[in-house]
Amino acid sequence: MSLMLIVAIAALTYASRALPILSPLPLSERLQEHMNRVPPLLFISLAAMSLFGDGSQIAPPTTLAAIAVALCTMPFRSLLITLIGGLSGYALASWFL
Amino acid sequence: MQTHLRRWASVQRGAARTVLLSLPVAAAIFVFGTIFGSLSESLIGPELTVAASLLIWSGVVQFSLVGLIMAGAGPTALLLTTLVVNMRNLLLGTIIRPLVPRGPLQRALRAWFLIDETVGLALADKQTADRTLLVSGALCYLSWIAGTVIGMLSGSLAELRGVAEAVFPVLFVGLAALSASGQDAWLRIGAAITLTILARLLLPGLGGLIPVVVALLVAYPEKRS
Repeated sequence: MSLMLIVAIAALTYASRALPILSPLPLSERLQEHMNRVPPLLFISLAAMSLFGDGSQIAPPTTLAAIAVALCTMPFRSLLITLIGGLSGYALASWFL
Repeated sequence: MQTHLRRWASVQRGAARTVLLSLPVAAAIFVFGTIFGSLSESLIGPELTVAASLLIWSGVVQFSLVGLIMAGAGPTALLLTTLVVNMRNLLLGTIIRPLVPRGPLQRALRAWFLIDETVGLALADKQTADRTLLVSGALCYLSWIAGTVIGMLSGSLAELRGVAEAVFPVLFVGLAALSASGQDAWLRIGAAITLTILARLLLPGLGGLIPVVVALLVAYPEKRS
């Protein structure tokens, strides 16, 4: 790993962030509607990916408990409640297991 | 004069609200930063670890790099992995684009702060999306750097690893809840969870692309009116 490689990786990462924001191409209304539905699905899919640890192993029970309690708090639509709920699930699972 | 003062007070209240909203996310990013600092310092040294957090500023990319370096991967593998895990930024940028100012410099600055968490927070209230992106982005960036440095100074933080592993999925669940809207949102969320689990089990080779593909697929069907 060298500084040059870090700079190249940073450039790739920034480009992936900047390209869609700086793009002059307008989005059609239909595509925009479609894109508006994407964020919660992307976030929940990222959370679901964490159900698995390395490879196809299931995540530790403490992580599973945290996710389960967090899912139950979703109707509140509050990040703070979800974080508190998730961490409580983690703490309870650590205590009992 | 009074109008100016009232407007200034309103801006201040808005900024304070945004800071409050962003604090739990920044705290989680700080914890993750400490884990990264602790892991990376022993692999690539303190200077490059700080440089990585300052310049790359992406948890998912930096943790992937740590994993690959531990596995003995070369520069090509590192660059290819970066491309794949950054695919979702293309989606996030497209979603946030209509909510940020039009000037290229202003947009270039917003792009710097575009990460999963800041976009999730920004989408919670589209009226204040731009301010939220900037304020939460700056807070999260500082937390990431501070976490990295503290992690390097603290040495091994194995005990924190379990908490950090649990905090991020929880954070993503919270961001999904915040950004969900519409009557069919919960149904789509259920479908996305199911499809992700199936894809992870049946097509593990897709790895970091799974969330992007699942989100696009599940978002596609339109509600019939």
